[in-house]
Amino acid sequence: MSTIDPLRDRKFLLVEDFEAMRSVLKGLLLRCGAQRVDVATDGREAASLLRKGAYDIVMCDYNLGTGKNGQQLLEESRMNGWIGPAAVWLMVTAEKTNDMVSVAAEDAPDDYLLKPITESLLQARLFKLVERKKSLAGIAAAMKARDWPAALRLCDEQLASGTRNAAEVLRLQSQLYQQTGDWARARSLFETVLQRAPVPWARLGLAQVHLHQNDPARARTLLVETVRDHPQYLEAYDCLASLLSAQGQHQQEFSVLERAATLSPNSAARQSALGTAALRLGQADAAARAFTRSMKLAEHSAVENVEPFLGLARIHSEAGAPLEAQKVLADLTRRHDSPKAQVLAKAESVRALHAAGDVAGAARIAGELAALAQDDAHPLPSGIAMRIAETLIESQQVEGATSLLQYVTRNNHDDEALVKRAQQAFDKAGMGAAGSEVLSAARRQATDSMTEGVRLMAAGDLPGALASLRAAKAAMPQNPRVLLNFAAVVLTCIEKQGRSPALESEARAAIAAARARRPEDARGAELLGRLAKVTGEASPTT
Amino acid sequence: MNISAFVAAAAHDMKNSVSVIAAYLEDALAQLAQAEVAQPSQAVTSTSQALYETQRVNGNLVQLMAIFKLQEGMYPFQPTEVLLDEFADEVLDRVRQLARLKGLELLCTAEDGLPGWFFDHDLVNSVVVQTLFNSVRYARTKIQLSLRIRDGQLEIEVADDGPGFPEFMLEQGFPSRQGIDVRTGSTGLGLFFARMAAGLHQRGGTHGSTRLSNGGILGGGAFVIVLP
Repeated sequence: MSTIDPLRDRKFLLVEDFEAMRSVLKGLLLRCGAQRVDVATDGREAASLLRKGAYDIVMCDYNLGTGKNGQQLLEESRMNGWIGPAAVWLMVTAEKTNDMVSVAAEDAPDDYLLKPITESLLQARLFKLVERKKSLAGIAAAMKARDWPAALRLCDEQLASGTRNAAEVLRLQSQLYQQTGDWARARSLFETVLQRAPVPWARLGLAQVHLHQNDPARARTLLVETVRDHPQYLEAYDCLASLLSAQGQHQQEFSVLERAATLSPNSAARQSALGTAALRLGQADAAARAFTRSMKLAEHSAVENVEPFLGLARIHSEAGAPLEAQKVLADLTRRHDSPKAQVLAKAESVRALHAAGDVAGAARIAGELAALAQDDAHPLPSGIAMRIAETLIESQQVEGATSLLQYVTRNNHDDEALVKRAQQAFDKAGMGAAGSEVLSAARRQATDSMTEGVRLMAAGDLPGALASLRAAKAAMPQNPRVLLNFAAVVLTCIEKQGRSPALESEARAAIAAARARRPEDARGAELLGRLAKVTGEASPTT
Repeated sequence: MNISAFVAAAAHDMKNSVSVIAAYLEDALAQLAQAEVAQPSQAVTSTSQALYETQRVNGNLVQLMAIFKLQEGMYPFQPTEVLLDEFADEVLDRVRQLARLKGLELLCTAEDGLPGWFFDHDLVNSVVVQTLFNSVRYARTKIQLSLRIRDGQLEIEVADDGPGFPEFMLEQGFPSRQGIDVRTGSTGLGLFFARMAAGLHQRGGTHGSTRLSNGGILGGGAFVIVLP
């Protein structure tokens, strides 16, 4: 790349539906020094070009007529990796609207250009953005690879070098601290930023820190202030709504989401959240309206959102229209083929069968789901297993639900919020006492097996400890504590008795599984370090 | 639907057309430049004037739409950290070509080591660019953009050596009820918008503001937007 003409070797894609504007913009790009400019006239054509060719710079009109809009195209491109972390996405628009600025920072384009666009302005922006993306690409790539230590190191380097992008680097660094559960550093970063200016993302971040440090009252105060001072900063509404939801303040949650949806009526995700909140309040009509709107808005979006389908199906089932519900669920499985969508649609169909009076059919599918969720080869994430259990228990499928709730509790015995949710599911079905016993037993199973392992270790019985924790791991393949304790015992064996390829790969798999579930748990990284030491590899964190 | 909603919708539609006209004019200017004429031809001068007028219309439409949205509580006010040297380059760039054609000198003074400042880039950009366009219209020989920190607040000043602002603007900032001043074309919209935009910015209870004076550093009108 020449420093004089940094745009010459870049590959451009111009997306603009309006013909006159298209030729004008293409002319502008060429005069700015671009030499390779492909052109698309709508979202579909753009998507097929983006899929094939690695573009460095995409200049895209926000409004693309019918079909996808520019934002949906951008999200799809990032999600599918059609554009790399150094690629620049410039959104062209006649005016900025709430819908544009309300997208989450990680979904936002690199810049907006307001029409009319002049040659010198475009060139200056392009130079600036190419430079900025190039300097941030390393961090973005490390974050995408979930290599948090490397990403953090790059942030430090950039800040030490006095980068012009300090504001952006600090924001990324704060995300990394949150990702790795380093709340103390996250907090001091947010406070430092806030000393200089009332930056909305820093206020939101600080509120999230308060939440994680079990101070919901301060989080709530701060969020209410943030929403008051920055009424257009919609991420703060989302966070406030989820806090209110967690506090059981569903009426207030609903009104916060309603305000956000009024400010930014064209966000599919926000309409969906509004529908969910309305449903929880028993306002079926409002919920159906929001879900329908959300589905309509997401029609051309590649981002999966199953909630509107599940919510509408539920509303139909509960209104005594199970056939309608099944139709919606069939739509869902046709549109989204992810395992999550498939399995949640299946769970929701139990409610429809129950509503239709097909007791045997409902029981059969409930049984299938319980088995599926606990399949050793492809176990479902606990959150989804919990959702299924809740749907089953609401549809009187107690047996399947109980088995799932036991499974979730066994694998998350130290996650108070999840265990509480399991208890609430039982309470709702009027079987609080029996449920409480089942859940305590499941938690005991987890703690007992670990106490036993620790006892045997302390007694010097390494093989016994190993066998005990291996059995615990088989019973609780998703429990991060069990997985890490198992890995720790394996590592002690290797350190004392010498290397063993089989044990090393067992430890590696267990640590990886635990880290996938709780990336913020520092113990996983520590054990990986020990593993690297005994195997003589370079430690993954340095 | 009230009348202001129609005005806003019409403004939006007009802005789309103006964007296309502006783009065509810029295209034409670029083609004229390729023709390599030593002295700017009459075609270049007229096209530039036409471009300038379209940009003025565009600026007015942007401000009308923004005012409407602000009053509806729907303006996407979004302060971000702005690097001031980049900001200055960008606003000056918008008037550079026209200033050259009119033989005006464009000066910029920025204090050394200005920190990044936190404000809504689009709003403040619109305010400063419209003010610069205004100066280009009235200045005799030069225009100066200054950026400085005073009492912990950012001051952005646009000054020129023209005849200065009309008396009513200095007093209240708005034309009389009889309507706009046909002679100067001043509607007061720009100033109204500037005040509104400045006032939206606040920090620790202090709101942004604007100042207007005659006989400034260059002897003519001087406009200052103060951002906390």
